[in-house]
Amino acid sequence: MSTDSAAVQTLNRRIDELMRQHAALLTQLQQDQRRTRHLARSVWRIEEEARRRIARELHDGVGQNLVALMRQLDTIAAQLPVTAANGRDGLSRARALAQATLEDTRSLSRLLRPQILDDLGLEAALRWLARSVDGLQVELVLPEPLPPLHDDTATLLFRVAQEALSNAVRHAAASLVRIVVSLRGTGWLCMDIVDDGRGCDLDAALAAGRDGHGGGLGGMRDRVNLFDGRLNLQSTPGKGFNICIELPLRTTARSEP
Amino acid sequence: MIRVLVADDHTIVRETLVAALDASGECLVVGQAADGIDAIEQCLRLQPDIAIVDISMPRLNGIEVVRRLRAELPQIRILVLTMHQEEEYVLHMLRAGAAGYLRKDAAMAELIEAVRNLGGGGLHFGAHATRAMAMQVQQARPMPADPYRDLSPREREVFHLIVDGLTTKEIALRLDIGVKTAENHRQRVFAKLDVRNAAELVRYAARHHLID
Repeated sequence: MSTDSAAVQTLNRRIDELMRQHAALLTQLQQDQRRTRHLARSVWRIEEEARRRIARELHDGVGQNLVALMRQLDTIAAQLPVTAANGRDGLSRARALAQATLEDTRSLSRLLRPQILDDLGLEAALRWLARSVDGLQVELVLPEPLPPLHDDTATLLFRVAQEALSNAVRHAAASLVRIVVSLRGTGWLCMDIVDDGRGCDLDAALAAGRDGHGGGLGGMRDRVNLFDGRLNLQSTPGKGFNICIELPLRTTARSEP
Repeated sequence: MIRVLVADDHTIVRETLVAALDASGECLVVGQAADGIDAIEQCLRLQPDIAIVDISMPRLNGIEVVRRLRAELPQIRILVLTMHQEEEYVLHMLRAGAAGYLRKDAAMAELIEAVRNLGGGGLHFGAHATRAMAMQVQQARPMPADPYRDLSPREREVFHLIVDGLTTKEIALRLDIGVKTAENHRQRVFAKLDVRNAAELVRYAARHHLID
């Protein structure tokens, strides 16, 4: 009997010990998860910041040097005698080349990160984006007024919209996209993006790996989750594609222009 | 002589601009600023007729510079000279009170013309800016209503299942929802599209090319 009770006591101690270890491991795991999320958010921010800086350097640095170059060519052209037709032609070709390079620089800069997002905010950036996709009619519905958004939230919403429009053109052959941004309850911002494209089998699209539609969607979900948001995808082959994201409204205002 | 202040943080651009303006004989550059705060301070001190202002500047961007100048020195005519050509920038600057908007790669002759126009109390908008304003006016027309697009994704699913001929019970089964919920969706779809029954719904779908 006493050996039994001693065995039970040993067992109980062992169970207590295991439970303590379990709790400690759980805490450790939760801490690690928080750390991983924190790191992933930092990586995302650093990438966006790098894009912002390179985009600005291209646009305001290289771009403006090209503008100065063009102006100097104009000045030289204006000083040439009327008889110097060859010289004038050469300068004109040089100016055209500088102009073309300037347009390339602008496109490259916008591709990295459109400055309009930082200068004028999400609403202007979405309006610009809605106009800028060739062959796609985009209808944009925004709350009036759009509350001041944290930089991360604005960037995330912009990137999701950008990816959705790119998918709508590249994969879904859509002609019409409707983007609706709305406020839900207290503290939630929703963005609903619906296209009229050919749709897809969602499981197949998500399983399609890191390239194309699937990879894009997986990455989108990961990023939204990083910022405590929810992403909901719906699609049926032949019946369009629907992306719905919900993000907590972080109240830190971005610096409005 | 028209008195001009030039505010631009890019030194080479600013200096070539100032040299060209001075050489034109149309105006006199009375001040140069390399950031937004400096631009406002110099305007207060020098009271130029025209301020030529870049948008992207350190310390205070051009949009805020224009707003403050309009508030404190409304007699100064402001010409925005910028790398940005997107409609939204044009409209922002226009609302802030700019009297002119030109891209930096505009020909020098046009820039001089703009200075002359603003100096005479007029306005001057380059081809890009004019186009942006025209687009804004034309786009202001409301989009024609499309009730189908106002359906929620779930309602749209129900819509297509009705079109495919499924009964409410079959829809509930297909979507793995209760019959009552399915019926609610069905009623909402009918209400939003303003149809009374499935036959009218199918006609609606056919009329709007919503049938595969």
